Amino acid sequence: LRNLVLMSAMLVSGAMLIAQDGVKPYVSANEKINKVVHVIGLEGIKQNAKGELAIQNGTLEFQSTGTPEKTQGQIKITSIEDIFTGEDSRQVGGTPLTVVKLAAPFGSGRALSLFAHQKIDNLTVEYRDENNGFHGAIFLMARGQAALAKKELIAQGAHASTPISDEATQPAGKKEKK
Amino acid sequence: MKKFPTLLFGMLLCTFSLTVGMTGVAQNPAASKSEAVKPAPWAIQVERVDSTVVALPPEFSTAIYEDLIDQISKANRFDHVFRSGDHRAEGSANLLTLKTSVEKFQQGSETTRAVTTVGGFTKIFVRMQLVKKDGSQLLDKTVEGKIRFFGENLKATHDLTKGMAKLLAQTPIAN
Repeated sequence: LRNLVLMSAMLVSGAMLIAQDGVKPYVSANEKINKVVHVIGLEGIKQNAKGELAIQNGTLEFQSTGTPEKTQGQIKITSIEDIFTGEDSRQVGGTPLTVVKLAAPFGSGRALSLFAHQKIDNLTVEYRDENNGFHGAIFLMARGQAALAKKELIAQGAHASTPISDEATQPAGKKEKK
Repeated sequence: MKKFPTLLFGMLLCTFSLTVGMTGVAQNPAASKSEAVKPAPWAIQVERVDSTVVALPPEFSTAIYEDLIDQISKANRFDHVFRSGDHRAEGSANLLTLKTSVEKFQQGSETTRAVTTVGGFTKIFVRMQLVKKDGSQLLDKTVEGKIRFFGENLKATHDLTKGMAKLLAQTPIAN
């Protein structure tokens, strides 16, 4: 029984460490936003490609990292019709953690899920191409960064139907303490 | 002694006929497949997902729209797939319009799904209508997309669009 308790404690603390790894502190919108996932919508970029997002010279630019072929996708900021930010949660730890969860005894793997999920932001950008065709692109990023990106895009000439909420001006960490 | 050459001849004949038969079987599906994927002289314009009746988070409607365009393009059923608002569609004689509207949406939670087995499901019901230029309707059905156990909420949109693309592929289009 002692071994079981010890093993469970190790699994939980491991999962907590993995979960904390993905959370990034406040990042200025002028810098590149790292650890961004392109979910769908950007021409020439694979779904779920990981990379970094930059807002500069009138474009929103995504560059994939970590793959042999680095791909790049751009959206003209003036062609952006609307921007939305949202919140979701996702599992961290990937396949290794899933294997650990499945192998954990007496269904204790399920408890790990509580610690292995982190809150993330999503940024949805709706824009038009040169033929006026409608496009939408979705990106996932660390908590607090989507609002900053939206603020920067609007500052550079993008349209948005919903105003930027106050959360854009505050770091994510500070909001949680309230 | 005479039986041996006859037997050998028979075996050779059997092998030959089997080989010819198998080649024929292997070639036939390929031929029918190439006919099946040949694009029809129809173009399709995919309109934006209408979520005015049921509020749908923007990331879901965008994911449905983009994934649907992706799936229809991959299916190679249509001559051209136009996006909503694309000017070039106006010049297309054989144009079909695909309208989608959200009828029901239940957003679940990935964490709840992972921790329990009875909750946290994400479900989307979308009505899809395929209309000709003259206004006649070729398809009017509701499709369901869901994510029940593992995976992110947005994966429900992939399940949905797969079903929608399948339905489109099965819809007969007469001139």
